Amino acid sequence: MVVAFAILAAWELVTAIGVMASRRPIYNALSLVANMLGLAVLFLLLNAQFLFAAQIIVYAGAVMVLFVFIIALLNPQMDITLSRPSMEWAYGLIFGVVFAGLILALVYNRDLTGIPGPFTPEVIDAFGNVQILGAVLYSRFLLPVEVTSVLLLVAAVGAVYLAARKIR
Amino acid sequence: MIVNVNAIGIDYTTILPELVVTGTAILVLILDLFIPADRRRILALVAILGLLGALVASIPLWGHNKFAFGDTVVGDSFAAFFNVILALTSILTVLISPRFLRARQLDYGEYYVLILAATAGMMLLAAATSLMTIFLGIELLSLALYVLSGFARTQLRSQESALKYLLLGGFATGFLLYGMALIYGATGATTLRGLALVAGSPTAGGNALLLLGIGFLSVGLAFKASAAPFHMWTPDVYEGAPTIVTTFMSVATKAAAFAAVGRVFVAVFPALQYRWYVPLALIAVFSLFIGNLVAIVQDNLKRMLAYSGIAHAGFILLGVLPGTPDGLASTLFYIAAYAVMNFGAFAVVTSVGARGEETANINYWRGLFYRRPFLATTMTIFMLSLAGIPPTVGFFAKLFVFRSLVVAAQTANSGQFWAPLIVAIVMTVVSFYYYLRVVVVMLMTPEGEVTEREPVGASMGTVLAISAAATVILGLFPGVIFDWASTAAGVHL
Amino acid sequence: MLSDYFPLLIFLAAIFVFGLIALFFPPWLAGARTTTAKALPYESGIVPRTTARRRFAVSFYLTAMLFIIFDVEAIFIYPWAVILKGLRWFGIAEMAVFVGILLIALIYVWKKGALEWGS
Repeated sequence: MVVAFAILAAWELVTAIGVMASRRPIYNALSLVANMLGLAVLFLLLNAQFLFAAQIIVYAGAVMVLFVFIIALLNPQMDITLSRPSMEWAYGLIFGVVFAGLILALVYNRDLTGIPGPFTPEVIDAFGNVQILGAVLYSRFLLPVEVTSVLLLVAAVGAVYLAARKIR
Repeated sequence: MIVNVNAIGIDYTTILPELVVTGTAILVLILDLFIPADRRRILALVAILGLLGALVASIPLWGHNKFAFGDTVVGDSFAAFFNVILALTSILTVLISPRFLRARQLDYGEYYVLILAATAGMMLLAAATSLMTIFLGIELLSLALYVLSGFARTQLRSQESALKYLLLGGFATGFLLYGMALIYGATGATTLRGLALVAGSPTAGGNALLLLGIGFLSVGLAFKASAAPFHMWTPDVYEGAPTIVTTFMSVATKAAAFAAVGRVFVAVFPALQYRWYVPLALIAVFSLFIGNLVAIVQDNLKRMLAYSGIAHAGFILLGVLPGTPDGLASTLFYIAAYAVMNFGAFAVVTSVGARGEETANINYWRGLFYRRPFLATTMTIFMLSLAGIPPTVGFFAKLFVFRSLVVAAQTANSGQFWAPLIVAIVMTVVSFYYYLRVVVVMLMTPEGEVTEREPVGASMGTVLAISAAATVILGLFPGVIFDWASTAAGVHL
Repeated sequence: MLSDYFPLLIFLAAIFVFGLIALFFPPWLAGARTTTAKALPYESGIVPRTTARRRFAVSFYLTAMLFIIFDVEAIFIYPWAVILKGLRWFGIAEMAVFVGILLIALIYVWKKGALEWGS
């Protein structure tokens, strides 16, 4: 378990750096796909099979298709590289170091305690991951689910309004 | 596996305002598909009727405390107070929209759908008592506003505004979501009720996960409220978006964001006030400094009002700092006052710049008193109120917030409330300069040729008259609204 | 628990190894020989006229965006279908509202002509 996590964590770090480091947008996008696939396997390690599937179908599938299309849409020449970063990386570094320091200081100064929820691995094994998710989503979180459909409706309206060639 | 559906607590009356607004949005969307383009004024009418319906549906919530849908939403006075502010803001926006949109050839039905969807999201945010509904409310209002800021889709400025808002908003949402995940990890609860139980325990103050989560959560909320140092997007987005959209979002988004801030900090985490006081006070002081000092050098009225909005976010946040219902009451009063006066100020900018964006430059406003006396007079009232000069409502808004800090300092017998108070008073004096500068510029004799007079229009005239009258009348009788605010601020979980 | 996925891991490794074999074994066996026909993008297809590195039509973006929206809808239906028996008619009503709202989105997209290509 720990070994699997260590391998995946390393994979996630390397691919995340790949997302930022390459100056060709298409390579950034492909690194992101690799990153999302690794994240999906991390979900699997946590017994979240449904999230694993959703992560691959929605993120590694649909969202990445959109990203690649946008890169193709923006760059008339897909081989064009991004301009060399100037001072931005310095600001990013300062921010990142401060941020990491803040988190480390908090984590080491106080005990890190979480409270386990009602759905322990044993409970999940007894009923099944998707069953429990479905039961919770469609009972306690009924309202958020329905709001999600409104959110998707608004997204459709916005996408069509902003991207359609001609509006009727 | 059998699911017990009866335990969910389905109660449609608690979310009736949101349901009505969402239903109206869908109705407008369908109507838009079938009515001819030259009759789109009907859509505005339908939208206003729906919003009036939501206003009526909010009244029964007053004085109640009804949780529903697995404790994810609540129908209480707090939600009703915000529903009224949000519905009225939306109604006034829609009233002055058709004329503005037609002048810009932007008269599409999607505009009303998106305004209504944003309003529904804001109402949901005001009623949300679960991390899930808080997130979805913020997303619903943000998504609609991203598209609305790019509504002039062929104009580069509007596109830039939408893109900046989307990218930075997405970044802020990341913080918000990360914070929520950490809070869930620390408490095992997503409902605010469950969170309050854990946060009330004596060990909560030492829980790093919880504190980190609250910190990230406040970053996400402060972004939406455009409080410094998370304000960078505000001037550019406000300037680039169509002015009518800026009018709506400068008022409504801030109100909705502070509804969530108020509920989370005063109702859920009052026991942790000693932990969140310093970061929140710093945000307030930063907002006061940056907003007021940078507003001085702005020559573009939309940018000036954007920085003034940042400054007001600081003032509004002051009332949250004591972490008591009394302080929250002054915050609620301030939000109501800010809604009236800032809406009015932006509406005047909309009216003056109905045909082109360059009119937001201060030079264009030279001698406005002689060209368009009605607009100049109402603008003067709004500027005086934003500055906080009696007898306008803006004066009492500041007074109540300052008083709540003084009271908190006396009851807690600690000096920590004096520092933000002193900053706020000094910055109020600073703000006189840039608000009164607008008035002085409008009084100066016009140079060069006098441009042709354009009629204000019946709907805009009415809306401006209402806002101006409200600014003065609420300033003369602030007690009524303050009583309502005090009732609404008594949030129970 | 983790060992449940061990066959899957073997499967993935097999795919990887097979890919390597398919890529490197034939050239090693037959020797690499490049011809003009082999260098074409489509060996037995239409001869390309211009470069493929050109700006894509915005319709692709719109289609991808709409695909995401309805993809997410499908993801929501999956856990619902698994527990529909437990939810009974209440579940049907829930999903009717959910799908109904997105049906309106579909009607909107359709009527606005966003599904027509290049018109």
